[in-house]
Amino acid sequence: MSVDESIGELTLRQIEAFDPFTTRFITRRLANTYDKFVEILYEDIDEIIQYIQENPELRKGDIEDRVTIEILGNLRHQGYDASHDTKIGGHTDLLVKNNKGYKWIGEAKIHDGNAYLWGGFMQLTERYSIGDDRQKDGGMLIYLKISDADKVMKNWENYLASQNLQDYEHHPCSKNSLYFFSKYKHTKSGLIFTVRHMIILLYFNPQDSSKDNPITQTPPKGKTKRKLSD
Amino acid sequence: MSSKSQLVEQIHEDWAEEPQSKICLSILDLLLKLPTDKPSHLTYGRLRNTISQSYADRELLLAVQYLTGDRTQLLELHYELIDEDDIPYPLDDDSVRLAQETGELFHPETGSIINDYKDKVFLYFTPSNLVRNIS
Repeated sequence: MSVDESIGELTLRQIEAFDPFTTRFITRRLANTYDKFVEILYEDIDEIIQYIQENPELRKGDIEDRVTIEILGNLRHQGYDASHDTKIGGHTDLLVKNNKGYKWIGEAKIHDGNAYLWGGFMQLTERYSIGDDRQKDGGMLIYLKISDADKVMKNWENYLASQNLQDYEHHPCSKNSLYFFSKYKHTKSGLIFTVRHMIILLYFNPQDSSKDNPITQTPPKGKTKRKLSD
Repeated sequence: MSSKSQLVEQIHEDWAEEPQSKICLSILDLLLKLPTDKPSHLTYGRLRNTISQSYADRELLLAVQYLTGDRTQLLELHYELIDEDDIPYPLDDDSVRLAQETGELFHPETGSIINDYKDKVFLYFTPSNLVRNIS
């Protein structure tokens, strides 16, 4: 729609049909339970992750905080009260609050093996979260700069299952086959705490010889061809 | 209590050079000029008239979504049904939530089902209580 054809007044129909970033505007404002709050938040995070994954070549050198801050900025644009490095038992990577007192905490890690992820998982669950009814969910944001995300997530899922967490269970995510949910009995609250494990695909190693590919382009004479790197 | 300068700084921090910075600041200025002793009913059209016409609806909608969100909470979102009789009937959140879940909206006075309710429910905004406390 051009500026000349701008809408006069705004109906539910118009706002829902407008743009992916405003489609959930109404649903977000109407969320009146913790589960609904988290459901919409995950839809918004998924949209942002899709956007971030579109240009992995721009993120090869990114550290954890840079990608997290990009997610944070997009969440703020959608109206979320989102913050980084907020102190709750430690410095959280991503904290999202709403005006009903609901909280969701995300822990971000560049994948560097299961032991490293486990450290992040324990920070998220046992250090930062209380695990009560107003913060009964959290998320792991796993930034992957190597190939085969499916294998990485299955390994991580198996590793987590072997840690003897009380009342542990896990199940796949219906929205993304690479994601999964874990649940266990939170030590502080004694209630079930749910974590959505999300992987962000930042691997970039194109095999084509297109002019857009700086890796496989023939180097000028006298210069050494760059090695394919991870 | 927030000061105007704190809000301006936050808007710049969140939107930087994007058009929403200027749009949000224009709306903030409007909110601070509204009389505090009577309710204000801000339609989308009124907000559009507040900003430069060079901005697209998408840019304004993103700004409105931001100002209505939990981060700033400067605008409160409301709904009204305007049916064939052209009379506005305010709807509470529960009615709209139920309609969105079931696909059916009932007229707040007659109780009859509203056909194509999404075309007849309009959004409008009011300044939040936070606006009154901006120093």
